[in-house]
Amino acid sequence: VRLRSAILVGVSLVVAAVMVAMVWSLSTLVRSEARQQLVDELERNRQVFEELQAYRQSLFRQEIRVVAEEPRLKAVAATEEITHETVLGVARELRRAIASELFLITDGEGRLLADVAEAEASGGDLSGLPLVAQALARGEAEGVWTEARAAYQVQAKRLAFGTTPVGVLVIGHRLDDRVAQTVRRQTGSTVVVLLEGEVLASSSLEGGRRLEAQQAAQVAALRPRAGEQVEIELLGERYLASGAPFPGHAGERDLRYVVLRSLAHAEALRHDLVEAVYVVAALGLFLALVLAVILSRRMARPVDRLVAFAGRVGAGELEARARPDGVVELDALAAAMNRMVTELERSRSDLAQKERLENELEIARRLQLSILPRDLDAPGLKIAAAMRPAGEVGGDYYDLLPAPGGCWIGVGDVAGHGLSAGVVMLMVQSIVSALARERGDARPSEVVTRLNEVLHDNIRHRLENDEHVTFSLLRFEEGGRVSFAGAHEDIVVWRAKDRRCELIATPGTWLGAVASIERHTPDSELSLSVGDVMVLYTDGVTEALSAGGELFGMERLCQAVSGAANDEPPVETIRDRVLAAVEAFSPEQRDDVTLLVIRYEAVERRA
Amino acid sequence: VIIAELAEEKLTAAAMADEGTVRARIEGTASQRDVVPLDTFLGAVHAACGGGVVAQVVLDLRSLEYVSSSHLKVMVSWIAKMRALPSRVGVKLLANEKYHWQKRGLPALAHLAEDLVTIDPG
Repeated sequence: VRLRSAILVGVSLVVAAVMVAMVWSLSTLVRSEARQQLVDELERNRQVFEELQAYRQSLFRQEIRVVAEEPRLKAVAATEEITHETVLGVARELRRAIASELFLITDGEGRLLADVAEAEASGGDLSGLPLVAQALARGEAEGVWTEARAAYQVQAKRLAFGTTPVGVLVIGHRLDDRVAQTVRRQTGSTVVVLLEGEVLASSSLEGGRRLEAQQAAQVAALRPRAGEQVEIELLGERYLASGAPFPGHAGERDLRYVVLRSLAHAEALRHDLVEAVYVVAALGLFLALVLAVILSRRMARPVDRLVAFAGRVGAGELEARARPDGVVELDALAAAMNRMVTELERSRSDLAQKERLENELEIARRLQLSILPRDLDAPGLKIAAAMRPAGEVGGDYYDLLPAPGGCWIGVGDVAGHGLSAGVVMLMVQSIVSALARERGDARPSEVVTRLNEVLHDNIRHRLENDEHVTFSLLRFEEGGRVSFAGAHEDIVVWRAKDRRCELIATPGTWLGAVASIERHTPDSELSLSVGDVMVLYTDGVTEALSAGGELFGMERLCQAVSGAANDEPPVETIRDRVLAAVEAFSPEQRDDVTLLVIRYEAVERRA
Repeated sequence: VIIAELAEEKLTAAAMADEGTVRARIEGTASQRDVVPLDTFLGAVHAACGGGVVAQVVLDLRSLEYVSSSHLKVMVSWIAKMRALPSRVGVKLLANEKYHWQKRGLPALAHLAEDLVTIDPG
């Protein structure tokens, strides 16, 4: 998965989830709040309905008090000798004035004198009606009367001359749609008045639609308890309804009212708000996506560059470097990668240099070994030699060159290690070989002095180096005489006669360091008897270190030679025994080890 | 003039200047790792002699048990540099012939600059 896609999808999912959660939370909150507001409003409307009914009754009370003081009404109620038509006429005239649906007059005992609604009715005893009885007893009474399909808000007032009751006036106003519609206008709620489940009065629904029989039946079926709200769907719209017994009704019949508020209208604001939130959320999501795209590109671009950079490095382009892009973490990563590449480049360079150096050393080692003499035959001598180069070329040298009546033997060591030491050693071999062949009768000191002059010029002036060489050149003559010159290691001579080692110093100085050594290069001599063993070596033998840091030294060398030569074995055996002793003493070889074992034997002369 | 001391694992060296003489002492056993430190130390001694004030360097090698040909090469180079100083500075080597390398090597070293180097066999 590409980083860019991952960032884009990740950010988009997070933003979308946040948006959905926000919209859902907001919608739920608004809906809950809207419903609660509707519940509160419905309850307030129900209270308003009841207060309006109480107010209507209070108006009707004032009305009946005024009418009851009408002298003609009192007169017709108090006069016994008066016709029914007269009483009815007065009643009709007054009913018109107050526009009531009920208008009844009784005498002082509660017998009906006139009923505007039923002109023929007269003489009936109404004193048993609670309202009439209360009016006769207390002066005034009010309540709700119901008929088969009607209900009235009724006021009753006692008619009296002075303190003498002469009758009761009952007036009533019908509960009809006008009452419901008035409340509808005042509160905004739909109002339905029900009698035994039958709709007596109703206002229009919100939006102006009228309640049809089906909806009326639905409302009639509702029986919410006081303070309870129930939901109902009317004409495809959800309503919240609350109701209670009609105020002031004390009869046995079920007279109730229900107020309804449209949930859809109440939630219209919520819908608008949620829609607005949806729009804002969609816009936010869109902006978030745009931002995510920009961010993902901005973040992915430097990462892509680093990936490309890593690819270039992987392909071997080690000179490549990552550029900072301004993002702190990625810049740190780029810097770290640059350091790694630099280290890698350096390591590769070091490795290449090391390989080159190892190749050079290998060449030098081959040179060193390849120029060693293959043939160690010399008249009167048995010679065994060995050179064991150390890991690093050390510049050891030995040679055997023929000479009239004997031979030249050279042994030396170039100070220092490495290819340059090997090159100097090669020079020594070449120069000695040339000089010895050219002047076979020369004294060793002459050859050594000449060798020094050439080496000094080559090393100090041409190579501009600081190597020097320890070197001894020996001239063996068949009679056993050995002359030598040049400062190197002491010569060890094992005398066969007394079976002991003798150390013979090699006075002089080193070669290559100064231009002339003639004054310090004497010729020295030693004499060999038949059976004597002469041992030449380099410092790799005497300076071999034990594990404890102890030098092999001259004493151990002499012991090793004496031990090896005592039974007069072949020179190869002596060589191997001495080398074994050195190796046993110093398991880790640090320097080139060169050893020549030379036994003097009588020269066989042809007759 | 400050000459830094040398304190390797088995090789130590120290020097001090005193009234026209630099007294230096090298002790111990030199390993191949000590070639560069020895070169640095002797280089500092050489630098201390450059002002024309020092007339002699006394190099005490009596406790220097062993050096390899690489260390001798450093000494040869050092002698060559001492010889190249504008004013002559003598080098006196305090030797101990008990050690084979000194018995064999110091005379050869002295021969390289016999007008400059003397050996006190102790």
